[in-house]
Amino acid sequence: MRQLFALVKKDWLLHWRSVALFCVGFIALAHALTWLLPPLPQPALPLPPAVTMPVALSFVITCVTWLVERERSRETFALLRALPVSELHIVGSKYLAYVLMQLAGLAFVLVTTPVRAYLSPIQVATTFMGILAFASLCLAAQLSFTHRKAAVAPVVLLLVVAVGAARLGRSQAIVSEVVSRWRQPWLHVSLWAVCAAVTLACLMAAYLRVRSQDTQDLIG
Amino acid sequence: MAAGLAVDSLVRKRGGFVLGPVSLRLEPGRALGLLGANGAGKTTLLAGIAGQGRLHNGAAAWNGRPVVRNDWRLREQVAFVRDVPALYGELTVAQTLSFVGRIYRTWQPARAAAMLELLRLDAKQRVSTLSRGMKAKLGLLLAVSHDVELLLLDEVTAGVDADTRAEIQRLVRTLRHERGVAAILSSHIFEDIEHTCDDVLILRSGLPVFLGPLDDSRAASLRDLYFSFGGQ
Repeated sequence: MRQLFALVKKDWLLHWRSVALFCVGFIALAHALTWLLPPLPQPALPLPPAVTMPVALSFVITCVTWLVERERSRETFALLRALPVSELHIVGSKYLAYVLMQLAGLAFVLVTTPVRAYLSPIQVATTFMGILAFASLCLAAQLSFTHRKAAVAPVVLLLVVAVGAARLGRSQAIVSEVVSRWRQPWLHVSLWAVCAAVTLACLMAAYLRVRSQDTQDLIG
Repeated sequence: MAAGLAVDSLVRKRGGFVLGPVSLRLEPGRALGLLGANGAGKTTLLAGIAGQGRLHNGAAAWNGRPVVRNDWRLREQVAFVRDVPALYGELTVAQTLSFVGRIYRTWQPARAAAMLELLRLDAKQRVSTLSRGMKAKLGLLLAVSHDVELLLLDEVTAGVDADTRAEIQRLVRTLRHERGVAAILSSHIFEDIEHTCDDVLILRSGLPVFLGPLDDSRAASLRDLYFSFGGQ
């Protein structure tokens, strides 16, 4: 455990300023958008999901890229591989460091935006879990591929999901069904289970991938 | 259980390059110099012994414990220091020591503090502002402030000034004589090996062409010995 804490602390020391800047930038962007864009149809939301979700997902991709690509581009993966830390420590610490970043981001969003006005606590938790599952997918992609492929893999997946959602969104009946289910607690419990399973599968894949690589290949 | 390092017919492949078979023995407290042109396989050999990459054939063992790729527990005893230590530039020297110190089970804070003073490093200085020589010293400090038993130094003296090279040579000699640390030092500088090592291994295109004591009677100096085996 001491290795895990040391690695998470190190990542936090390296990246907390960037996370803080991102959060401040998010608020500035959100305010700029609400000021620049035409008024939304009623009921108007100060920060509609159409703005917050892309920002949240770009937060995931950006943070995970910071956590992994920095180690790769500056070859500090070689230092980690010279220290008595296992691949489980490396992958686990990257994920935990990201969880901390997301918690900080969530706290910031809850304090500075009226998210609570349109999401119940259980819905916030589900959104949080979903974003964490996406983060674990990004982490697995970053650790499995190098350079452009690493960044492109989660974006491609996101595009597939977005296109699918947009197609389904054309049907008023489907939208009404999704909205009504989104309000039912049992759905959230099953979504949490799905998110946890996806997260575990992605972290396991990342671990196996890192374990199979020579240090030189890990640096890329 | 055999004490020290035992390498038997070790073969590693990277792309089209093949290292070996290489066999050698290194007892605790002794040092082996590794000579060879760029691309001769020095780093590939050291990385293989450190468990940083796959061994395609043969075996290596430290104190009887087989070297397996990514055996992270072995790194408590075996330290691998690269030519340009990859460090976190955003951290200070003190933060780097604190980070690495938390990871090693046998980290000695008093030893690290003494080494810091000995190597004249400023704990408050940001790593990104350190010169190449100072980074080399910090990399070495991190590698020896715990109970290391085998030190693998990959061209750590390359590109550093004469004073720093002398300090590194002194440090390796001290570690050998006072703590019984075994060392393999790869370098292009004959003097580093002459001042630090007992034996020398010369690699040529992945193959060992000479392995023996430095005072080998076949040549008047290490330089002569190296060039007698086709060194360029």
